[in-house]
Amino acid sequence: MSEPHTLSLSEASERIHKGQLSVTELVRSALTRIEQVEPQVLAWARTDPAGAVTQAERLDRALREGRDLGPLHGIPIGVKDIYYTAGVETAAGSKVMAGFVPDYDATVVTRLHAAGAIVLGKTHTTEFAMLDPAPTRNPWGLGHTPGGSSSGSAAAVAAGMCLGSVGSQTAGSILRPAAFCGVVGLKPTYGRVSRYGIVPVAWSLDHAGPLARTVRDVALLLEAMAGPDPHDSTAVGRPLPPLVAALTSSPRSLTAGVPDRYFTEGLDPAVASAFQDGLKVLEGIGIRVREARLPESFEAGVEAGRLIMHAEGAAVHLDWYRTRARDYRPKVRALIEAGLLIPAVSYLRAQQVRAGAIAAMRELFTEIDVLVTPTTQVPAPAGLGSTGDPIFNAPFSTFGLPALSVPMGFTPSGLPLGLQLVGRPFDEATVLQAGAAYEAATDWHRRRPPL
Amino acid sequence: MERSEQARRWICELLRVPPEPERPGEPVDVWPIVDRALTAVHAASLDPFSEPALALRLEPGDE
Repeated sequence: MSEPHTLSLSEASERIHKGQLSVTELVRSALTRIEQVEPQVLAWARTDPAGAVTQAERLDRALREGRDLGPLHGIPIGVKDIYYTAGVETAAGSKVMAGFVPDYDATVVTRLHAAGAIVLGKTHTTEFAMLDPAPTRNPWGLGHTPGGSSSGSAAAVAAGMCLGSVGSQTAGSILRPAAFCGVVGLKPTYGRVSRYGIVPVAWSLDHAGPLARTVRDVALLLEAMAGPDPHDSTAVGRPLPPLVAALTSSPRSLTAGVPDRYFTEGLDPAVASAFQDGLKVLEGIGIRVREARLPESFEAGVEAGRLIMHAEGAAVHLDWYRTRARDYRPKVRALIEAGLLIPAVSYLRAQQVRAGAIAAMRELFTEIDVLVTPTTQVPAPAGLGSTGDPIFNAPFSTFGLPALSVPMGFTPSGLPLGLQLVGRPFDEATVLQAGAAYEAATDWHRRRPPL
Repeated sequence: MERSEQARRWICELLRVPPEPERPGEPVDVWPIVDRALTAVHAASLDPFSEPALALRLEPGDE
């Protein structure tokens, strides 16, 4: 039998529930893998091996006693270091928050614990989930960025150190690292998942979401994470349909739209070629593929998102910045300084422009079921000084639409590429359905990095 | 001193933030990005009465 840490979350869950694998074996396998590859990848800000083993033993006992917490029972995961974890340092990749130990868990962490997941540790983030990079390296090419800001969450899953993880996205921080690291990432609809207990970047743009090795795995994680939360007024009670059941529905009635512009610019030849192949795969599985004309307000909406992020980001950090400007790294500092100078009228106008673009995007989705694009313009850039450009993901953070990245192929030098599928508000089910059908027709997600 | 620089200093003073903190590391200029975004947002055609994408959610009993 292959090492347990090489299994997908769903495969491991099935074996645990059939009594073919114990939670303790699985967790020990993941911890051994961390010992082996973490010195190269640097995905973790901190881990808790002893605590994880103790939890694993408790969860094995629970199963023996007939207390099954569901599909995540005993699944080892990583949590981005901007999620509050009670009693465990949450530094958000920053000097400013270094040493901060929250006394409560983020709602997502509480829910994942309740669903039986075991948190192995906190994964590296760029500073405050913004632009200054984490130390993490890309498991597919150690000289390349893993993307960010959920750098450690993507790299840890790709390297087999955990079976799933949680990240966050304000511009492209789940989908870009997922694509660069060859894993699946899901940014749910704004309002689907509570952000309570997550260090904010920009309140009206922040999303929490899962990363894992397969579409089914992220669906299972989202089912545990989603739902209303009295601590986060944006987390609405919109019912979540059974996502895993949706994955087996035929995609034949679906129509995918390929944008007529914006996503065609600046494509690396390997991305362009893999994307054309990806479209053929979609057609091959019965999805109707057609051109989708983006609304005229699309680009202005994207620019509005940039302005909103700078203004809200500056407001988040203003109090600390007054006294600790020197403790911020250059890119965050520059963002705060620029954000402070944005007039209130401009911020509000940006939110008006954004609302108009969101309405226009709703119209577009009366003609198509999913929008399909490459997740990134280029594969993971060389060097660790930047985490790459979120230009293809940021629109859907600004518009709040659910978006999924699935592995789409590799460059000739072996770097992974991602296919992005975007859906209607609160229609994660269709996005996941299309992604699962695409995944089933390809084998990119089965490849593992040469560590 | 240019007017924009005067405005920057006035805002920094108003917000009580250091106008020129020491800058360890590479200085980064994000202003061109913000400038482009400001220009695009103010150039966009728009119903001035349209609601911004902000929401205040009151629960029953909060009124």
